[in-house]
Amino acid sequence: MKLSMIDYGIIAVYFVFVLGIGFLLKRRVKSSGDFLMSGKSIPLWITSLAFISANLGAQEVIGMAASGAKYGIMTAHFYWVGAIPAMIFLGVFMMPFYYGSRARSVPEYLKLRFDEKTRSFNALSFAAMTVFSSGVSLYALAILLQSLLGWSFEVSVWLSGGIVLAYILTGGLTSAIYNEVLQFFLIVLGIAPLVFAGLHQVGGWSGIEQQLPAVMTHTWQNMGSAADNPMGVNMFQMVMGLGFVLSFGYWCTDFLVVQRAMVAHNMSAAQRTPIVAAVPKMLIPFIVILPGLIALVLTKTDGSFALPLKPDGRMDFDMTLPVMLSHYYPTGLLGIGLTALMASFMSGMAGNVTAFNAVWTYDIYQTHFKKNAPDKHYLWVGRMATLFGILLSVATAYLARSFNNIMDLLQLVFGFVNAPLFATFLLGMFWRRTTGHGAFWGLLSGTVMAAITQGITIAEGKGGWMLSTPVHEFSSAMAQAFAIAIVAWTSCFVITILISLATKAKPADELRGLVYSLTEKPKETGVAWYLRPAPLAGAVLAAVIALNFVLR
Amino acid sequence: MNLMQKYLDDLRFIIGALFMIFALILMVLGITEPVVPGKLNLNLYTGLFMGLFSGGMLFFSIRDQLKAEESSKKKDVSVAL
Repeated sequence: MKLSMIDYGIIAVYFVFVLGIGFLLKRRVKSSGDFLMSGKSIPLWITSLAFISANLGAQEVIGMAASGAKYGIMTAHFYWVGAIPAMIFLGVFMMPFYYGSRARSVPEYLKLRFDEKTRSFNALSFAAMTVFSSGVSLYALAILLQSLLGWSFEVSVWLSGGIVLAYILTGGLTSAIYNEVLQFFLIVLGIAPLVFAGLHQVGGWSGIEQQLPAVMTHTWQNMGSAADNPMGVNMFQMVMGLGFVLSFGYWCTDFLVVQRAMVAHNMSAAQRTPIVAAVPKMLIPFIVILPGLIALVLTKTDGSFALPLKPDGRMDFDMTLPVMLSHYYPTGLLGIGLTALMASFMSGMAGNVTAFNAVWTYDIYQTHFKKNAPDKHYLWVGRMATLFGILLSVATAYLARSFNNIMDLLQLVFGFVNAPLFATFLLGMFWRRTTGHGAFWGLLSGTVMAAITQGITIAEGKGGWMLSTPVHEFSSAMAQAFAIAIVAWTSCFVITILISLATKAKPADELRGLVYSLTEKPKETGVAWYLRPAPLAGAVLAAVIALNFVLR
Repeated sequence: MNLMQKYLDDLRFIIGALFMIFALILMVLGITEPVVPGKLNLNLYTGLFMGLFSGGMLFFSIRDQLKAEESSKKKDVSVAL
């Protein structure tokens, strides 16, 4: 890919704005609350767009185009089944506890609801996971820039890390959130013309349907058996594994996204943040997945278009989006498209770093190292945590370059920790009898069961390290991941209940505002339906059901 | 706080300004591009769309800031009276 001076100019203008936002917001940062929690003053439209943008990282933009080419429109399940229902549940049922409890983070809610050990378990695993994810984003960006533009790995890593550090260090979480919104528009406006041009060439959706097999253009029709679809998963695995355990586990408990709703200016806005965010979220597949389908059609019909091949001779689907950009975009638009890709990497990285610095400062440092220091001290710790987080991300990027297998292993371990988490929150929020001991041992048992399930089963050559002959072989690695999540969640759910029944629960007075049955429900009379979380959630749910039906 | 500072505090103004710059660059490139029959002029179309989007962002930002400025002036006058 060859960039002109105009393209480089566009990238430079974008970086000036990104850094300018941090500089402009600098004078607003006076306390640790301003730096780590935006002073809880962000309007709804900004929190909503930041909510989805924090997740609109490299994996989403590049990975979903690749999945679109590999699995077809079924990839939309990651949005319409694997995101929207969980986002609605978070807004309607869970935000009142996160926001109403005045917890500054998700681990802090666990402390208020359960005890210190449950919070520390969650805080430590989350902090490690965010730094790791941020480093992987940085690594992927550097590899992309190396292969597309010939930039050196070192320059890409240090330059991107330096820019993210500069705007977070000056403007804190508000700066990260403002930049996420800017990046959201850039990603949408930078990639939408690609879809428009592609659809124009292949003859629209009907042209795609004519050229590709039916299994690539339907979401549900081939889900009866795992053998009938390219994902290798059946309907139960999809709905229970992705749609319930993994989706609710991520969207409802991951502080990275929940933090964006927690900084809204009032409870109603906090509740509506994920619900309003669900509207653009359900449309994003048309921007990130369709390029994959269009690329497949082009490989059949356009002699000048070809996806690169991997050393083993298979198509390299990860290059779908970059190849399409260079195929369609002229000078100018190419600069915008590439800036959009860079923005998606940096947005993912900044989201992780801002979640890390809050958890490190409040849940680890303030809890275990220095309890009653002046606020200025915590502001300083927050800034140092940002610097430390970026340096660790850079180190992780270098580690990923040297030891790719270590990264796979770490990702797997973090997956084990995350899978059972939603069972802990579900029981904690909706069953007042749940105890701290039950939550802690439930989480631990879920994690261990996830590791055991992976160790005794195999899929695509992965897993099965505990036995010489694995007890089951899954049709795909995705089916195995969904099954591991289901087992982890179920064991956490059961063990938490059993241990809670055998241990002493907290008195009702200590649980007010933390448990559904002991929390006063807000009255919403005389407010328009679209300003109330429940009716708004109903409308969004109806829209996503309609989308599933249309593309069934 | 002066009016310019208030504009810079409004994210809509910042987004509008950035995309207006991008839109102008794309439109100039699109207009100067040689016409190829059957081929979309992506720079021009995207530039026009971005121009509309950024114009809307700037319009709402400026309108709200002017409204806020006017109401604060009215308040000052009523306090003085």
